[in-house]
Amino acid sequence: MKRDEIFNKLSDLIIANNKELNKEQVMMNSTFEDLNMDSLDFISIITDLEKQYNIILTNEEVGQISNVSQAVDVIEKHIA
Amino acid sequence: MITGLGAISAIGKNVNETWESIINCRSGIAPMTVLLPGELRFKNAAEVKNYDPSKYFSKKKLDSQDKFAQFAVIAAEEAVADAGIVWTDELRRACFVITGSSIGGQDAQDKGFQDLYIKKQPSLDLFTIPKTMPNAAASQISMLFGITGMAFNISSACSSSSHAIGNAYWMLRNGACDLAVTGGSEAPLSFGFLKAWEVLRVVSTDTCRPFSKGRQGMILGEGAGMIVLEPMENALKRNAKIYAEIIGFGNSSDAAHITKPAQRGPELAMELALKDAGISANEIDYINAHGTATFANDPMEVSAIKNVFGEHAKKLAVSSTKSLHGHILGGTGAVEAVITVLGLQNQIMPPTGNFLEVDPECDLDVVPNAAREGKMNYAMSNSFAFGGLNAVLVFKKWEGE
Repeated sequence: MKRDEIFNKLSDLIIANNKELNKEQVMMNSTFEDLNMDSLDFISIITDLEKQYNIILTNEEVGQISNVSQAVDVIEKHIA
Repeated sequence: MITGLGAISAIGKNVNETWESIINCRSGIAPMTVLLPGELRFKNAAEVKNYDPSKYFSKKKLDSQDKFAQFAVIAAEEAVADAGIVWTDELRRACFVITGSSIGGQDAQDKGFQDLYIKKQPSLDLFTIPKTMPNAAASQISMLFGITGMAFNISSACSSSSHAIGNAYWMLRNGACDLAVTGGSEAPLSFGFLKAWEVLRVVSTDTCRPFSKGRQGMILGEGAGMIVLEPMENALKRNAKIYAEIIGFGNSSDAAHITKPAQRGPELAMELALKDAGISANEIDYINAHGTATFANDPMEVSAIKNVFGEHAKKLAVSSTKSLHGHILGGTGAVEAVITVLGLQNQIMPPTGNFLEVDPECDLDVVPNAAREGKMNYAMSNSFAFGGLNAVLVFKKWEGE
């Protein structure tokens, strides 16, 4: 399912960005604060996802994402 | 005392034009005319309109001055002429030039890289270093007027020219100099630098709407602001026209994150500025905000203002003129200082342009979409830079003739 695929890609990027996290810790309702990500980590991951899916998120959309589930929603909307 | 003003930006090529745009809430944000050799997600910027450098400089001068230095010299010339300074050797020795520019000659640097890496030229333009060095503006101004006192550039990102003006003020106050030409400039619209901003996702793809719902981020701008500062006795003795007084300078560092602001830093800078000015928070009537219209800055700045000013925050006016002239980076503090000073002189509060709807997280009186007459005795100007470097100036209305 598309959402699972997006979630997995996002999880992989989050783990790659932070060696101290493991896959089980990244959940749909995890906030980026929970995952110890600062604003630049977050932008870097969003930029990677945009490249992988060949989509462009608006600044407003990016500004409103505060947890994993919201990120998955926005990306799913763009690839629909 | 501020006895001379100079400015050039997207909203005017001199102080009169700038002020006209402010009181008419006229924005200089428009599609970029600069030619870009590739894709950019944002298309708009605040460019100086129809800028023809040959109208201001000989070809020889242009060979050795990149745009940011040109803007600074134009503004400095206006300010010094405005102040009616009569130069003597003694005055030249006792004058300081302190400019703010964070990145120096980007056009020259960009061209240099293209010549080197793409065109594989064996040598670069002779004036690459003199053009790119961020102190070029300070040096050119010193050369223009024969100023032999201390001259240098301050580089603190978006706070550069506020740091420059504040330091010049402190030095003047301490008697280290008898005159100061101070302010800042920036010309950031070259492709490499623009791409670097694009990836941070803080630049708006439409326009700049500080404090408004629907804001999308900042708009980059170019230009310069310069002021002439001198001690009260000197200004009065020579019957100088006095615009306003600088009475306080506050600084702090966030010591937190390299881009995201940490609220306590800006709060401290505002508190220290009030302390340096010797006035209480309740006496401030207007704040020219940092107000970049990014998601990170605006709610943080409003919250910081509420913490510093308490109940009085509801009574004061807070506007961001970046909505009209864009974010001029190292030069923005100086352009905003010029506008704040004109506001005090004319008792008119500069507006926040492009305002759509109140954002509950930014619910102060932001003077939306129209300049407003208002009694102002004291005004504050905020600058909060990347890397957590905060500079706040406090100005007082001049009561005399």
